[in-house]
Amino acid sequence: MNETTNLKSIERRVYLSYHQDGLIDLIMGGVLLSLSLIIWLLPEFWFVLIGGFIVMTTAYAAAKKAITFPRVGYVEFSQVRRKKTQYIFLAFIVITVFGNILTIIAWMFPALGILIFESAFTLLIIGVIGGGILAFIGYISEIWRFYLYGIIFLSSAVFTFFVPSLAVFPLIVLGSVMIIFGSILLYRFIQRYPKEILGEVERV
Amino acid sequence: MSNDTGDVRFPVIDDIDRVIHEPARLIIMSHLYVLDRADFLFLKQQTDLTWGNLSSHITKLENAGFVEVIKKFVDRKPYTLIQLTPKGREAFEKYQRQMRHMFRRIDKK
Repeated sequence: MNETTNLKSIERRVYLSYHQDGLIDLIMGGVLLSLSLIIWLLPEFWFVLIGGFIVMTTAYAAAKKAITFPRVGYVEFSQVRRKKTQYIFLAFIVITVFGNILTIIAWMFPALGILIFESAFTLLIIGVIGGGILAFIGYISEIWRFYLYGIIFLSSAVFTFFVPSLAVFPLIVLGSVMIIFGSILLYRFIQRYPKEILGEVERV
Repeated sequence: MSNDTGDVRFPVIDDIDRVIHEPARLIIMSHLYVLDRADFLFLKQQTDLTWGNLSSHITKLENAGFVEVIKKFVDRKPYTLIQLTPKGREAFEKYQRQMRHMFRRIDKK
């Protein structure tokens, strides 16, 4: 019996059970899908991209409070886990800043924008960076489905590189897959953890 | 280790903390050891104990000075959170060492 491993597995199980609600998938998927549709259908409203991250974090916090806390309770994870979460947060900020810089450049210098956004190579680079960041999130959080998201994103970017199609195709694919996964996870989570009557929680 | 009559003795067994040794309390302590703090509902979901059992075990751990129950407001909502005290953390680590030591002494042959 290895006690250290067992305690680690308890911590991991607890952490994962807290993230089996599918909310991160649903919200990330929703934001990605909305952004890709805006870029595709209403490119003049590019500036909403800046709000993507803010919308995502605000919606995630609100959904966690409304859906997860009343069902599985409230927990504060250890310092190590909190640090890992900060890295994930940082990864999201990097994606957002990177995306925003590219969009602003494209807006200020349309010729450069065409070069950036309409080049198949750019898509491939975005696919590698995006896939890498998703895999990084999977590695840090130990939520393995993020590896799958990374592979899906990269594969769709490679597909778009070889078979010319919509530039936002990888985002649409990833967003849709995330929404489907998230919906299934949320349904199972709600079935497994019905809302507790909080009055019973009170002790003494 | 055995005496002349062949019965096995574990010198550490008398020293084992019975408050932690109880399975339900051991599960609670294990969870609190790897987390910073958690509320009653969270511990109930993770340990599969009933409200009554959980409450009585927490009270025993609290009386032993191993856990403390604190009230905290998160977004203006009150939460009753449980966390290990330094004494509880130390006792849990001591318990781990003792059990490991004891199991090492058991001859598998």
